[in-house]
Amino acid sequence: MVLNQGLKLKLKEELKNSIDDQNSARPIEDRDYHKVVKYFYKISNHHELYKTGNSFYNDYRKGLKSFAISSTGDKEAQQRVILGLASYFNHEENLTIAIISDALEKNCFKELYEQSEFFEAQIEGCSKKLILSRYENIFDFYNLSNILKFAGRDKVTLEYEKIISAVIDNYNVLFWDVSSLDAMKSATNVYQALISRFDSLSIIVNASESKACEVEKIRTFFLDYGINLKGLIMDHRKR
Amino acid sequence: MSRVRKFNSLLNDVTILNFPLIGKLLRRYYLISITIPVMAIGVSVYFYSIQNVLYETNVGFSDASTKNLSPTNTIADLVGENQIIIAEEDVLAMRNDWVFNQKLAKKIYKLPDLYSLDFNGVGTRNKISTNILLEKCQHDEECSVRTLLGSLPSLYNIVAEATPGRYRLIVVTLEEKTSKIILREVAKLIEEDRVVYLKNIVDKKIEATEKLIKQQNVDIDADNMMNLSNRQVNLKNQIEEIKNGMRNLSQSIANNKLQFNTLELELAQFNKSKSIGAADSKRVNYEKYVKLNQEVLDLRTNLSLLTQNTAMSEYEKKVVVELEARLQTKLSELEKLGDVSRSVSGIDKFNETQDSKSNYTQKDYNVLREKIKKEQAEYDKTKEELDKLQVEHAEVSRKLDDMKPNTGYLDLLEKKLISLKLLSSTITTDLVVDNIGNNIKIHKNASLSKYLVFATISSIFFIFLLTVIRYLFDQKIYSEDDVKVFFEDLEVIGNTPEFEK
Repeated sequence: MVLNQGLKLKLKEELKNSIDDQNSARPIEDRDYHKVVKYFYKISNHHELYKTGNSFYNDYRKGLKSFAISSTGDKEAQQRVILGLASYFNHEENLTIAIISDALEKNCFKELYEQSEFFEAQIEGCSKKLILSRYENIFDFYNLSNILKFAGRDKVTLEYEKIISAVIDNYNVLFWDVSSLDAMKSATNVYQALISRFDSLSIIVNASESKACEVEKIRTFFLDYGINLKGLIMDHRKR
Repeated sequence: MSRVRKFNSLLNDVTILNFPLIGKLLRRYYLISITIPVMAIGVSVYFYSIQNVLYETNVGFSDASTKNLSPTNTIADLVGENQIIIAEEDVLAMRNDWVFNQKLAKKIYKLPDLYSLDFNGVGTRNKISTNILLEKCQHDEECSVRTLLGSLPSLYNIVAEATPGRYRLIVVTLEEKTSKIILREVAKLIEEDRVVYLKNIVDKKIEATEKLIKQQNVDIDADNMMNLSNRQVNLKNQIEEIKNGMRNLSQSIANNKLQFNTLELELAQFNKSKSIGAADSKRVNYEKYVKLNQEVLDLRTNLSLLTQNTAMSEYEKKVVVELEARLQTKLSELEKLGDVSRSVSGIDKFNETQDSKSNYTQKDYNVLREKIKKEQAEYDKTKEELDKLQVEHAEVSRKLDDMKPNTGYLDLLEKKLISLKLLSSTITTDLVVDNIGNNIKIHKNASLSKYLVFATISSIFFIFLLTVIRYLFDQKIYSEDDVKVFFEDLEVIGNTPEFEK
């Protein structure tokens, strides 16, 4: 994988650190380079974030790193959860975190994405460069459409596989802002390669709006790809 | 499966219903909790407002028979008849009695202000006037009565009061005057109808008794009984007559036998006298002999007379024994004297005298013997006839005895008939209506509070029912509890983070 040189070095360093400290969080005073995002402190219900984040963090310490967040149609909630979890992970430990979404210009990602610095990464064996944006050297945002461009029209290309592997391999933690079920069903071949790389799936359930059958539908869809449902995250915000 | 789990979640082992969950569901489906009571109250108020204004009047009446105050029953007691008591069910059933209502309809139809009355039922929405109601009948009484019969029973009611034997007639119509008139007519009819009913019962009893008497007369066969009775009297007289005749005959036979015995002794004496050639020295013994002989003869005669009577008393038996003892004594004395007659002197002369007497005696003896024979034959024949008559008399008496119970029964029936006729002529009503006042109560069929209570109860029921149904069929996830109900194997990790703006 050939990324921007600076990014490459940083990624390698962070990757090394993360491996060293995989099973024991370092004391906060040691993390001198650690930049705690301001969004972590903008969260009003920290106790909820601690509860949710801790669950994911425990999974991470068990070796899981690719977390998919889906919902019954509430993209905004998906982004809030991803941003919150990313902030939590960043708050707990200095990790390289990637957020892959098909709607970076919308909702709560919008502000961060707009403030991000854009880079182009040349992946080995790939003809095109992959565009990514970095926010405060904390999160790297990937536009899903940029990754999907590497996929063929009817079948998955080797280049596409390489891109996905490179992205996953070069980060400690990845949060996937999962596309709608209809979108994935319309391009099953393309999404199959992505889905198979998910370590766990969590579904956001909007209280009073999400239906059990919708949740069951998403669950069944991912279960067909061997992805187990980690659990549900309740969203009590009114749409 | 999730519905089963949902239903189970509504139940609780201790409180039967899971009240906290139900409370949560009521808040969750608050639209049901608001809409149903509002609708129920709205409907209640609407139905209350469209009710007709009712005019209610009533009057009480008593069953006099229950307090032993009925004049009819007092007379029934006097004449030994059973009291006629009206059952509470019968009084209450009057309202539904077709015949009673038909009589009422006829009375109402004959009222002069019939067409000003209002026969609409209390729940009628589209009221029609009596003119329109009876228009199709065109003043035909039968048709009009039939039409009124369809409306009248719903306008009044008879209810039992707490006091036994007390009832209340309640009339409810849509018009004041109609209520008063119907109350008056029904009250009158209750009294009249009861008299008719009582009279009918007594008349039926009279009819049944008369029928029984007639039947009994046929069963007894009065002519036959009269014949038997006459025959019994005749037989009795005949038997008496024959018995008297036999008694006389028996007396005559006894007398003749006595005379016959005397003659027989005399003849024997004559025969002996002929053979006696007695000396004078033996005359005295001879005279003693004759005297003893005479005494023996007397004793035998007396014994003969006494022994003829088969049914002797104790005294007579003692007399017979004594006479027989005396007879034996005399006979032994005679034996001791021996044959003294031979020693009597002058026997020839004596014999000559005795011969002439002997001829006459022999003749009388023969006549008497024949007479006794004839009388004895006649006696036997009469006795045979008497036996036959006595058998026939016993048979007739038995037949009459057999008829005796039937005649006793007939007597009782005739007495009963008289009692019933007396009772029938003195019947009065035992349902006594109180004085009809002028009280009238104006109200609606059901009060607003009743409607509101009904609305509340039905609201609670329907809220509960619809909430449960809504819950069972609701696929939405509202809370972590719902997640547990829908997905037993899934857990809720937490809630989404909220960012301050």
